[in-house]
Amino acid sequence: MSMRDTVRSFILENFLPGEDPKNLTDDTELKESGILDSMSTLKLVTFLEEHFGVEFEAEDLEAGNLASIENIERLVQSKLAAKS
Amino acid sequence: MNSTPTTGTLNGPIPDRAARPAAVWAAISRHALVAAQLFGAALLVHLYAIEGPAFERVFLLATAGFIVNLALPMSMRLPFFVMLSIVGVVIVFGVGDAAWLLAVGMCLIAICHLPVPFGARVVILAAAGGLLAVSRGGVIAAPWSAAVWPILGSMFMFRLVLYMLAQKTAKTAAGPWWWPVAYFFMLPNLVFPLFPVIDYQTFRRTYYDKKEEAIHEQGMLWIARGLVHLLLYRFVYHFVLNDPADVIKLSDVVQFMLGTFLLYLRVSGQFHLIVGILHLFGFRLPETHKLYYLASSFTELWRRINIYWTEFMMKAVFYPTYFKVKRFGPRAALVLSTTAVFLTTWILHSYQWFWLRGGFPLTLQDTLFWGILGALVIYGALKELKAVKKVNQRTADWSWKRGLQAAVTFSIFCFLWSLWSTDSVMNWVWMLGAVANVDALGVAMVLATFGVIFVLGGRNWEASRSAGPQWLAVVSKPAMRTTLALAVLLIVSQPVVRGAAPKPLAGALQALHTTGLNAHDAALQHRGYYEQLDVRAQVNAEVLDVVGRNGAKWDDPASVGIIRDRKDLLLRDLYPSRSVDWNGNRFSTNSVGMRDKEYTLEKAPRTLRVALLGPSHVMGNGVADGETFESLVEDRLNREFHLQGYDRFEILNFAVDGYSMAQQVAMLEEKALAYSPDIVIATHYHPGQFVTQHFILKVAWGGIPVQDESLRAILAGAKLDPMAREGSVGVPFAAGRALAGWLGMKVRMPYGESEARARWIAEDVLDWSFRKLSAVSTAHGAVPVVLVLNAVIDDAPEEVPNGQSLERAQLRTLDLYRIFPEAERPALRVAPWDNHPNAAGHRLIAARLYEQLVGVLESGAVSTTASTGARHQFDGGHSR
Repeated sequence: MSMRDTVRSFILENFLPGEDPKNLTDDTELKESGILDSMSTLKLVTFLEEHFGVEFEAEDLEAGNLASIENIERLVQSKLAAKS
Repeated sequence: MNSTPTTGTLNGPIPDRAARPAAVWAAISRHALVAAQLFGAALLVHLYAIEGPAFERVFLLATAGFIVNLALPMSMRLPFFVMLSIVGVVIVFGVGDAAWLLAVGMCLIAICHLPVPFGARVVILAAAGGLLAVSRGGVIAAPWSAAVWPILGSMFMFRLVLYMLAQKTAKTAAGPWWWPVAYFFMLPNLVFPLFPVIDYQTFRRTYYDKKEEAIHEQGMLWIARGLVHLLLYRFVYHFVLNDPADVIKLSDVVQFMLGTFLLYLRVSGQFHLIVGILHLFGFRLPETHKLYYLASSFTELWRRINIYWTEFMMKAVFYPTYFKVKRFGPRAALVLSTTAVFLTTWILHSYQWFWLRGGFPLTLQDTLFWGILGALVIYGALKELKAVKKVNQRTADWSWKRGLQAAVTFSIFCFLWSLWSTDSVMNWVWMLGAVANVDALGVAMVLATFGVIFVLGGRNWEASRSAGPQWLAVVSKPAMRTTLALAVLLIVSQPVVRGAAPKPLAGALQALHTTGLNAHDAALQHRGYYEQLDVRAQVNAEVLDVVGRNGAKWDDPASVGIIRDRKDLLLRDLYPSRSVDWNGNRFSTNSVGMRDKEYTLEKAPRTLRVALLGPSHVMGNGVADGETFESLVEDRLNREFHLQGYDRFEILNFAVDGYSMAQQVAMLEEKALAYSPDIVIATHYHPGQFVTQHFILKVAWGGIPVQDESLRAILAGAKLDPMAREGSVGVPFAAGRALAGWLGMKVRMPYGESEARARWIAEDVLDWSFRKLSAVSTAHGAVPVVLVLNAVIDDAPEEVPNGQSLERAQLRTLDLYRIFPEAERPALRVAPWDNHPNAAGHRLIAARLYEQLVGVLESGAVSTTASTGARHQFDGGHSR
């Protein structure tokens, strides 16, 4: 499973139960559409940290970084790159 | 939900050649519609006098700027917005203050970019902020006018933090210099000191990031929504909101709680206007408020009401705290970081107050409000954290559980908001005591409110938009919704619609046009946080002072040294033998403190004397010596009118700014009777009962001795005998005071309770005043007459207030209640911000009063009354 699909599955399962997966594309706006609020952001970040073994800072949670699955993947990739 | 970015002028794909002409025409027609809507909105801003003249100018500037912006290539648009904002600064503040505002702002921006380490820049900024704070606090005089402070504060007090946070990450630090200038000097900020805390990164990231037509249409929709909110606010403020002093039963409590919470419409209305205007220039910023009255939990409410503030707190406080303490586990980290957010919010509301209004208030009700709200949000957040899965709000159409949660959340928040909106906790407790007085209307209001929120809150507003019939889909489009809203407001603004509407509806429509303070706030002060901060243009007033008055200094009578306080029932009077320049007019008093020429105490033979009593508009606020209607009528009587037995007419002006009827009677006894008047004219005006209430409170709290037994009995009946104010604790309810007294506490009545009690007896005191006026005048051989005359106001009730009191006292009246025709009022006022009649207004009053006074002098009734026990008689025989 790709990183995008992993993130998508987590979001669908935890924040959008019952939603048609086709409605959650890579560029769906997660913040603007209300899918990610403060609590779900924390849950998502905890999941990303545990699943991908990266560590986030407060400034990583800037709205643009978590705006879409595409952006989240970019953020995690940059963290992984910095780690290695 | 699928929100794939649409094509954009800046970064989207270009349509293929075949489709291009159609696409171009479609875009042009959409731009044309937005432009037409914008002109319609500008017309509405003018017709309803939305947010005052300064906003009208800025809105017109934005309207013209939007057209130019459309015509410019994308690369020129941001510099143009910067230029437009700077032009706006000059238009609003004038060259001098604008130069200072821009210079100070540019210095602060420059500090952010100094070639020193980040920490050093923060220290220098803090030092600069401290220096400005010292000046704002009044320790060092600033070289600019007071109007600059709220706007300067609003531009930099929070945005500097977000700008520096962006600098720290360095992702958006680079770029042309006009980005920060556009960010700090945003055009709408010039007239809205209470401004959404816009994030710098979002400001840049969302700039023309989607199709421009869609961004402009969204902005126009929010402008229309903002106008609707602001007009609804006016309706609530003038039609729904009641006075805490009037709260005596459950329905009053419900009305007060609903009214105060609904007043928040002003803030959401302003924020929609602000963000809507910014959309017109490409800044696709997020929504500021979202269905906050229908939130289903306190965490949800916190996210939906003032979304920008929530985001600011998340970024600046919540996430940094959470990541610092997350080693303690998610629950502890959540509690600690949320507590930090509410502690910061509580302090920053006072910080905001300091920059916008000066002072640093930290009240008990403020502390309780944020403390309780914080606890409720923490409880909700812990529940959300515990929940394995979030409920998908996009599925079910209507849920009774969501509806019930919304109704409970709304009810509790109304309750909390009312605490935040009262003057003191004790006043709030006193007001809540009225809940025990259950009435059918109150029960019906509780059920109706709960039911409406239950039904509306239970609906899934996100899901419902995608479903429904075809016509609904068409009507729901932003362009259609905007057009419909503007069209309805335009129709409703027409006088012919108001004229044709049934009376209660006509009253409501009239409320939409009323711009000033409501009757109570005009007389007294009762405001919640946002109310005091901005909602009723308290902050804008400083800006408007500069714009509307062209920088002219505008003094009140106390500040020019013509009024002095007294420790008797007069409470205040005029200094004798003063002559000052007051707002450009000469204001002089004679040797006994009348705003008039000298008169001998002894009345000359064949002279008919009139003693004129009244408040400011009779004293002649805003007109020069010799321009008062009193002076004009006196001159004309002597010039044109002849009455058998009299060679001369004298009208002595005993009016004093702020006088209630009771003070006029006190003035009659104190000074006027000594001049042996033949006629005594006292002035009754529309807030007469309010100023009487104010008089009672001043007498009670000031320990003013009351000689008159009847008046003393009225005050004692309401337990408003003169009371000690200092050194004791305010405890509501007689039983509460008795209990506290029994426990050895030195207690007193809280001010709010005394306000309510004063309100209860204000009409009785007014009755007493009229009776006393009649009795004292008649006993001294003078004919008592009441002049019914308002200042040049727009919202006077249809009927003369307290008409029954006048009838009970059997007083003759000179009725000038409707003397100022609506269309002519602006030309008859001293100034747009001062409702006193100007010289033309006084001439109009003089003309009408002359006619009516001559009628009194001609009437046999006057002659008869005057002859019964009069020392001076006029028998009504005359020639003109």
